[in-house]
Amino acid sequence: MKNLGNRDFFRNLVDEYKDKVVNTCYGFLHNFEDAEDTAQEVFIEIYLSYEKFKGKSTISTWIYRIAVNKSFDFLRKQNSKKRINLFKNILNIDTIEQKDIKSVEEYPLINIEQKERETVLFQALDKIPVNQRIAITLSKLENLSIREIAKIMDTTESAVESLIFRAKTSLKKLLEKYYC
Amino acid sequence: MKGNNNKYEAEKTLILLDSISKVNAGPFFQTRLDVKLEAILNNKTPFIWRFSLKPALLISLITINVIISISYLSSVKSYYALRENTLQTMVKNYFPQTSNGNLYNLQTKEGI
Repeated sequence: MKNLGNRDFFRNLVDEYKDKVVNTCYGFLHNFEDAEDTAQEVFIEIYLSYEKFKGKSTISTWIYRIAVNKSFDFLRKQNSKKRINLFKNILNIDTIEQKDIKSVEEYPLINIEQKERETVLFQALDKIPVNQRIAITLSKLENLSIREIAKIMDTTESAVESLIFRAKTSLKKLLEKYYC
Repeated sequence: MKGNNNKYEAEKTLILLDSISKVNAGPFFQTRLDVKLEAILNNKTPFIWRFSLKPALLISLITINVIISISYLSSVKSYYALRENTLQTMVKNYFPQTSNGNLYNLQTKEGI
């Protein structure tokens, strides 16, 4: 399989996109180590299959698409190992339980209450449908435009707007149930 | 009142979507990536071995070998059984009785 022969070009690509890719993966995985590992897998995939990039989209669109796919591949592998928890999640599909709250990640300069709220928010994000989750994560965490998200998800801009709106509605319902 | 409180808390949490802190790659990201990439590029096993070690193919090969072995052993067994029968028939036809009145077992070289 052909790949990027020019390592300098690849290094520049990594320098330019590594923070964005790590942040995108973090938005789905909520764990920094997992996000970094997955981001590395993304760049390895980019290196090995650069010839497959036919230039139909921008390189950033292609990279984000790989990042989203790799993140969900990771989640699928993780879920397949946790069959007991999967049954629990199916039974409690519309709720966030206090015991689901994992330990908060390290964030500089953010207070404890905000960290806890972010953890609750991430848990809620895990519960909404996949497409809604992708759309709202790319929009809010990566600040991508509707147009860019539509290209990444290979859909229309109006569909992306609809997904973001429905994601907010779903999140609101889950959070209201959690706080009651 | 409680319902309004729930909504307020939910809104307060939802607003964080607009201000979630971004994370950046660690300082050794590039170094770790280079190491992983070198390991992958240097560890190119021959295609035939990579292909042949895939579990489904391995299991198929083992199953086929087992079937061939069983059918070979069955055919060998039936060959010897057929040979025995043929010899016994020949003995019966040409030598109906041995000297002590018993049939002769060619394999054990004893009277039956």
